[in-house]
Amino acid sequence: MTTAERVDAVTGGTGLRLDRLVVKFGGLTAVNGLSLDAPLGRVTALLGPNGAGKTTAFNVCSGLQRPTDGSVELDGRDITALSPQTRARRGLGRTFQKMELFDHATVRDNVSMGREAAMAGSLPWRQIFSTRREREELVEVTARALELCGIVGLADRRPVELSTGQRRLVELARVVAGGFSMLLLDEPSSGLDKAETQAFGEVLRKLVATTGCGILIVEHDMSLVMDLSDYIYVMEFGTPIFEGTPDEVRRSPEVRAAYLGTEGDE
Amino acid sequence: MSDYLPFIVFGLVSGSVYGLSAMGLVLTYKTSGILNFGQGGVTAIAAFLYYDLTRNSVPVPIAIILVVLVFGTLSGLVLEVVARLLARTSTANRVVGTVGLLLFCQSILVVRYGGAALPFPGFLPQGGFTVSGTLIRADQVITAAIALAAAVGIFLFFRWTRLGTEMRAVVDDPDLLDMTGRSPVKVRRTAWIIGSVFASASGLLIAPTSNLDSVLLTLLVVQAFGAAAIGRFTSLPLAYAGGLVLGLLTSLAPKWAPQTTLFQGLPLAIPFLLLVVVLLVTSKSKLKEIGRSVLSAAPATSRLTLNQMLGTGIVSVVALALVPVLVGAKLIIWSQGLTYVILFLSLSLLVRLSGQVSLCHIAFQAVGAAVMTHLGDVPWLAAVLIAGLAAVPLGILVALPAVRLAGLFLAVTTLGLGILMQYLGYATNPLFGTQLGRAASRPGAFGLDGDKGYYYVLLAFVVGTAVLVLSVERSRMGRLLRGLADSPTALVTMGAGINGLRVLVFCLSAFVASVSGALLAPLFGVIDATRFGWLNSLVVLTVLVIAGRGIIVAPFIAAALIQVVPGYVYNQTFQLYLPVFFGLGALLMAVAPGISGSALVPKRPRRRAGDRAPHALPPRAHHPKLVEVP
Ligand SMILES: Nc1ncnc2c1ncn2[C@@H]1O[C@H](COP(=O)(O)OP(=O)(O)O)[C@@H](O)[C@H]1O
Ligand SMILES: [Mg+2]
Repeated sequence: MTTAERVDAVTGGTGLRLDRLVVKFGGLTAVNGLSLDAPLGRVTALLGPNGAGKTTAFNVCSGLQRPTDGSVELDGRDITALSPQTRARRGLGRTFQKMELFDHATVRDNVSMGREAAMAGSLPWRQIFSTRREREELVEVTARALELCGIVGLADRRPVELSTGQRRLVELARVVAGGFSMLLLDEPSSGLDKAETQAFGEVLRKLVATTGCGILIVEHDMSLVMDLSDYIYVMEFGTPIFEGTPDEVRRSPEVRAAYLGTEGDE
Repeated sequence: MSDYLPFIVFGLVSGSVYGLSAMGLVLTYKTSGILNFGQGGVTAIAAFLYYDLTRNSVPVPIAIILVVLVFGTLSGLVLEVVARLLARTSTANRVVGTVGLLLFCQSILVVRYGGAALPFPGFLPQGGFTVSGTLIRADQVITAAIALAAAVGIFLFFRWTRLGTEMRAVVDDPDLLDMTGRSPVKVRRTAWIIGSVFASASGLLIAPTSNLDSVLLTLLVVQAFGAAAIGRFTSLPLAYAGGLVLGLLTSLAPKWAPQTTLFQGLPLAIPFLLLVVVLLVTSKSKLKEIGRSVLSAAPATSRLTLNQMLGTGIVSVVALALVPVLVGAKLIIWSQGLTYVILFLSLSLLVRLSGQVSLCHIAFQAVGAAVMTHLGDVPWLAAVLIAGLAAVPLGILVALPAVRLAGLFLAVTTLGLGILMQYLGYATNPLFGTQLGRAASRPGAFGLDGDKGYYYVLLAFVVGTAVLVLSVERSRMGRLLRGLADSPTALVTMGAGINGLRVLVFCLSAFVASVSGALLAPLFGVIDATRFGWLNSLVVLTVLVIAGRGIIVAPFIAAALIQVVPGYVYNQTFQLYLPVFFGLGALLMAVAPGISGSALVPKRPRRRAGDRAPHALPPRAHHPKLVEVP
């Protein structure tokens, strides 16, 4: 299956939905009643100052963190109790604010692993052996992802040799190769300069257009977010404070208040 | 009740010492992220040092002060530096470092004092009083009181001193150590000094019951692991209480267990059983490995092309094939060497490819050898295969509870398993039984049972195993394992189940190790359990590390180092010093990346630009601008 076909197979689903999510770390409530809808074929943004609980919410979505309360749904099915790898195999992929690359493998192998990990799954013989069909698919999928993200020229380098911007693209290419129907991107443009950010935005747009996947993005670069997203959720200290289209967010007094609040320490 | 009283008293007293030792272990682990396998070495050296001092007519009180305070402090200072060098390296490397330390301490004692136990001069008053028919000796009361005083002392130190408060904060939340405004080096140094003083004191207190036996004294660290496990390697009071529980269990177990020779080893097996139970019942979030692994070691990849590899392989095989013609009566040494190549290949697969550490590979080898001796009636090849598979359930038993948690706890449980097997497992009937030596057969056909013929059989197995390891490395499994070494998180969020993967590679490694045992068994007329001691598992690990990073080449070098070279050097001293070199070598190799990565300079930036530390403040430019002001 190609990436697009794989996404098509799961499209028709509703994407990712969080319902009254609560996460407590001891006395600290990192996420406090976050509900959100991130449909397929759309870019949804989650905004908030540092420490608002965005990464924590992502960790709950991908199964790395157990929520104190609330539920996560993928394509209408409750996935709150599933393991991270099962969620991934159901079509949920993510990148990390603090990048998680395979530093000792080439860029090509990094990207290829984005798909091969799911092929391997949890069954012993699948983890040991790969079929010829799978190997061919890997080559094809990898080439396409490298192409889409514009890093064909870096294929034989290793992530440690690359700039932050390039590393972000490698991590993106890896989830692209994974053919996930829903992508969670955690501050994908942090560490990128203006031109790189713009190019990054283009890649995301192309990705949604060609594969029809859904994206939920945490991003601090406002022009990128306003440009890219169809719908925006804003949270502060774990609590959702506003949601709406980019235009509504721009006009909202609540958001502006939050913004002024953070401006104070700049 | 009075039946039990003597056992209870004895259990509480030895348990006090376990508790003391465990508190030292937990304190240093929590403040530095290094679980010190070598603590048993400090304990043993302290006891021997005391012996030497008093024999040279140093007065007892001065000897005690010299050993506990001076030696304890000095070794604490040294260990703090070692720990700092190890801190930023991989889990496997950290384990190898302190295991090297343990081996170094233990073997240097053997060099100096010989392997036999020496009588330990008791230094506490022996008089006592009787409680319902049981004599309670003064030295027992004092021993328990000292441990209790240490536990209370540390509690008060945490409560009432500034440094203690800082240290407690770190023990409660190790992440705090990285924050500014504290004195991390001072906190760690103090912790290591206290830990080493406790370890030294426990050496003096346990020696009267164990005598001066460098192996038994070193084993105190395993009791400490058991006790610390009850406190989940986290809580100091629970570690102390765990020591008492362990002491009681150990002392009462022989009374409950059937009075057969089989259960003689039960006391030494209890800490392991306790450890496994705790690991099984503890949730992942409660038992997180501490430590900031930053310089993740490059997973081994063979960089040669297929043709180069084929060429090198053929040349090596031809050279090895000529050995029987050249070495004459020494052939048996080389044959033995080949079986060890297989053992080292299995370990290399585990350590180099998956970054996991096993401290019980000799036990797997023993299982293969022992099972092989029972399979005389089975066709030879099938027998080797069955003997190899025999270790797999054991591999699952030890890997399953531990992999879920982290590599460190796998190392701890494997150490426990190695000891359990030696003191409890080997003597069971499916293995060696109580017989002195059992025979295993060589393949019957084509003259392969002759010494030369069998050498070629072994060579064929070596080639087969090397091919197996290489194909694993190049297979999907190899790619997954390399990914696992770099980022387990990425792997699971992309859909691969990693716990099964870890167990899988561990079992594969156990299987190959067991095959090496099955092949070793028929080499001599008979084989028995003596050559499979638990310490040898530590030796082979350190030797493999010294032999280099090559996933295929290192096993050959390691086997030469440990089998072939000693076979040619008759010198007794050389043989004695070998484990000293291995231990020290592994320790130095383990700290080397820390030195070159300048871990001694504390301000090394931990992350690349652009990746923020999770709790650090963001750089200014990254402050969120939620909306542009219109
Ligand atoms: N594992 C954890 N344990 C305790 N507190 C945590 C943990 N992870 C995050 N936090 C806290 O939760 C809050 C939200 O963090 P995070 O989700 O990373 O915010 P964001 O991604 O919006 O910057 C912060 O105050 C952070 O310190
Ligand atoms: Mg974040």
